[in-house]
Amino acid sequence: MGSDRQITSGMVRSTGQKIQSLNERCLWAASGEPALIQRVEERMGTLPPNAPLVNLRDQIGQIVKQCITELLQLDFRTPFIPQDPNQLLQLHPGDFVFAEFSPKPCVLHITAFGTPEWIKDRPFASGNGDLFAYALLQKYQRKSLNLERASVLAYKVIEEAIEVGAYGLGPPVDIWHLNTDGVKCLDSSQIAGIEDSVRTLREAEINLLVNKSE
Amino acid sequence: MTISKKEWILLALRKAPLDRIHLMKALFLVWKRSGKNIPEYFDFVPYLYGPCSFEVYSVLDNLLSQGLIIQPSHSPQRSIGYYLTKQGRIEAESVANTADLSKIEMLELVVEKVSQLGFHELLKEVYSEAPEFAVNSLVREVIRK
Repeated sequence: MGSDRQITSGMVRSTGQKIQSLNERCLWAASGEPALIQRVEERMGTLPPNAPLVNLRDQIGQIVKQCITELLQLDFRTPFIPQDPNQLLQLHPGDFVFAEFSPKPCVLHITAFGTPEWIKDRPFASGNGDLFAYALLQKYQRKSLNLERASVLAYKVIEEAIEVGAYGLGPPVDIWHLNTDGVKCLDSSQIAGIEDSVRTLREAEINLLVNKSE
Repeated sequence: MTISKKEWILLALRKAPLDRIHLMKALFLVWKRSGKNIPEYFDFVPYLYGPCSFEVYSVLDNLLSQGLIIQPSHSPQRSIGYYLTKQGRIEAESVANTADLSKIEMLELVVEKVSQLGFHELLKEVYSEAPEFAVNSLVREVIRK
């Protein structure tokens, strides 16, 4: 799982970690409004420790729905918005993703509506850079990569999305691993190794095309 | 006198500013051409872009935080060279005055050559000299052509 580290709050940006561990086997991250994400984060502590995602799916959906409902009730703008759920949700946008490796590898997406869905056989991206990420990942659908190579791909996609995205994306890049050993945030030396691998890959790609056309 | 990891990097940058990949490959070639026998040197593994020592990254971070080297600000996608600061140059000169001259000469030869190579030529040189360290490279087949 990978992310950039830019936290955007209106016109202000700051840096922070977006990926968090839910327990020893599960990671989660979110895009959207910090107020909503913080509220959901506070409630995550109430979930049973180390329960598999398949058991937590609907509880997490309830938490997200409850947090959005609370924020809408607090928000003085709410009565002025027509009773259109999509317009109401635009006041407090949020998108949540959870991933675990064991007991079985799975990725759970929870929308701001509180609706849970499993992501199967495809990459998943969320936030301001999601369209860039989907475009860059499209050719890897249903391809199997080992953890190291998948880390390089995730880093490359996020770095390139940061480079072209006009708003809401910024370095540095975080990469986490999930495997049988649990979850782990890569340290700065490991990230630097991935960064240099990405640069090597990008240079080779350019060289391949440039040399062929000369 | 044993040259420490930090001192190897200072000595390399004393000869020429290098970006991280050129520096990594220069340090590797020094080790390879010394018969893989330099006391207390970096440990290299065959990684995704060829030989890599993760210790190089942490030593560079320490040198940056000690103010002995600098790296101009740059876009994340571009790799920019590391330069010695005034204090770093003083320290590098001090090491050069006391270290084994043959080791310094070999390092300088390698750095001079590596600093003149483009990215593709650099990897080609390293992969042909140490194919056993290119086995996990993402671009081994591309570089071979």
